Amino acid sequence: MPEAILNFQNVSKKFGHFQALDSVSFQINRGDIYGLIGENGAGKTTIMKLITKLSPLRKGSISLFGETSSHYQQALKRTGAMIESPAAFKNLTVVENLKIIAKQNGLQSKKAIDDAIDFVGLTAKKKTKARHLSLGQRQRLGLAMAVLPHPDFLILDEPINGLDPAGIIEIRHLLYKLNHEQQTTILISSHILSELYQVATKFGFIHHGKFIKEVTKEELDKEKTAGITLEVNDVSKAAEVLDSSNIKPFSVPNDHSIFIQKADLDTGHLSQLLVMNGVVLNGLSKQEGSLEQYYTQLMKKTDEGDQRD
Amino acid sequence: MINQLRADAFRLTRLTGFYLTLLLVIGYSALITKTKSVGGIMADANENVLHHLAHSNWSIIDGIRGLTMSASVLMYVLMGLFVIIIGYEFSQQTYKNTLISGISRFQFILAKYVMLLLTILVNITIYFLTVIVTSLVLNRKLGTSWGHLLQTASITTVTVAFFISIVFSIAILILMLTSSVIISSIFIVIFPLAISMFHVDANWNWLTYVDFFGASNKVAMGTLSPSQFGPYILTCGIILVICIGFSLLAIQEKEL
Repeated sequence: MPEAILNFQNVSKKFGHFQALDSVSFQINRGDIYGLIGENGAGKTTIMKLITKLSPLRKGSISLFGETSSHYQQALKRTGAMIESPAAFKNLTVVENLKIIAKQNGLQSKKAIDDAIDFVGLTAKKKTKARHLSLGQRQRLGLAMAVLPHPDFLILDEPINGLDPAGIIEIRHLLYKLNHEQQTTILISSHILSELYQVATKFGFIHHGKFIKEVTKEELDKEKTAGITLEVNDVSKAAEVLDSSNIKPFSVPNDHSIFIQKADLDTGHLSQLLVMNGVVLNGLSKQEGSLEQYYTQLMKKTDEGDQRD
Repeated sequence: MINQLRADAFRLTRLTGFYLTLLLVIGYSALITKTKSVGGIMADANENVLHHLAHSNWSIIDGIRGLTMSASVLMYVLMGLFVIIIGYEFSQQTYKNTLISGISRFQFILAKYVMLLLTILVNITIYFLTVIVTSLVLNRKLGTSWGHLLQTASITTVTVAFFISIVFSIAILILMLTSSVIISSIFIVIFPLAISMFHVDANWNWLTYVDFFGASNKVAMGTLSPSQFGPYILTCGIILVICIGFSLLAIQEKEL
């Protein structure tokens, strides 16, 4: 059984009359790169602030490394975070800001600071004051500060904001390295879903403060594969027709639908083929492939469900 | 907490503002000693002492007394330390890094107060050392024995530093409640003036115990004996506990 690093149980949070989180529960296991997905104001940052105790917990429970939120000061020492914009002392240089973090965490090694600077690609800027760094460089500094104490759990809120394409690729490699070489468990949010898809191993979808769905990357890949879903009266007969016409591959998710893993078929010809072979076609829909489209469809379904309720 | 103190000490020594504060303290002390001009916020200054200081040739002990009476102005110089040590954490939101490092809220508040107290102590020590050095350069007489001079200088240093730190502890509470460095800085500016004005105009005698600069003046003049010091220490202790306690409550309930 995988070891739980974070356990978020029935957590609710209100700001005045605004319900920021509504009974949210999820778990992050050791080794996960957990992508938190949601619109602006969905509650992603609130979740991260609650975990790091920057926001007081009123309802529900959070446990980190097995310690409950009221007593997890020690667990926080194993956690690194960059929440909202990266915070650094503007009048101090990159290396001085990192020395402060090292002293706060009781780190003695100068090499660890150089490694962190090197890790995020800021070596050329190590003597530059934070106020003179570009947005992307400040983002890298924030990341260096978060990874410097070699945390077992890393929380990153929009870490690729403001980065150029090369920077985004570097950060992706960096997260991969942290996860694979240092076994760092990562919770990450980003608006750039195509990027998030490339790094995360598990995804949690949050909408208007409610936790909608959690899928692993494998499940997501299955669900988001581009193709055509057919709603039919007789699945075995339809499968036979598709097979004999060499329309492959396809899968049968339930007893009234078939999913053809090809999106470029002529749907008119396909429906004609099925009808001519005595299959009653109750519905036909095209499914798109990207995480963005999956997210959009999921939110649409959720909103439709909310309206029905 | 020790780690936080080390981090703050490192940060302070990297900032020009810290050295500028030291230079201002040294300059202010040397200037008063040389020109024999006493100035500051005083509600019930001893007229005889003021007259003596204005019209006599200063000995070194006179310098210590004159500098103590002028110490209230130091609040405005040392205010910069308040902004650097704790104000920046909130204006630049670096408290996020600090609190995520695993330090408890109580340790955070306490570390900030201790750091303020230590840096104020260093500055006030330099303030009084400058009087002695400047007076020696100007060939002034001791006016008393070396033992008594150093004892007076030490007691006034600790008293002034402690009293200033109490005002700053109230400013920390205001910062926690308002998240505004500006409001808490305005409080530091207004506090000694307001206390002196109310003390004189409203004739509220109980304000004697929060008129910190009045108390340190009395210590320097030798008109406040150690046995009379109890109520002042008690008042300061109560204010400190209340401020640290409420600051802790405020930061625990705060959305950071």
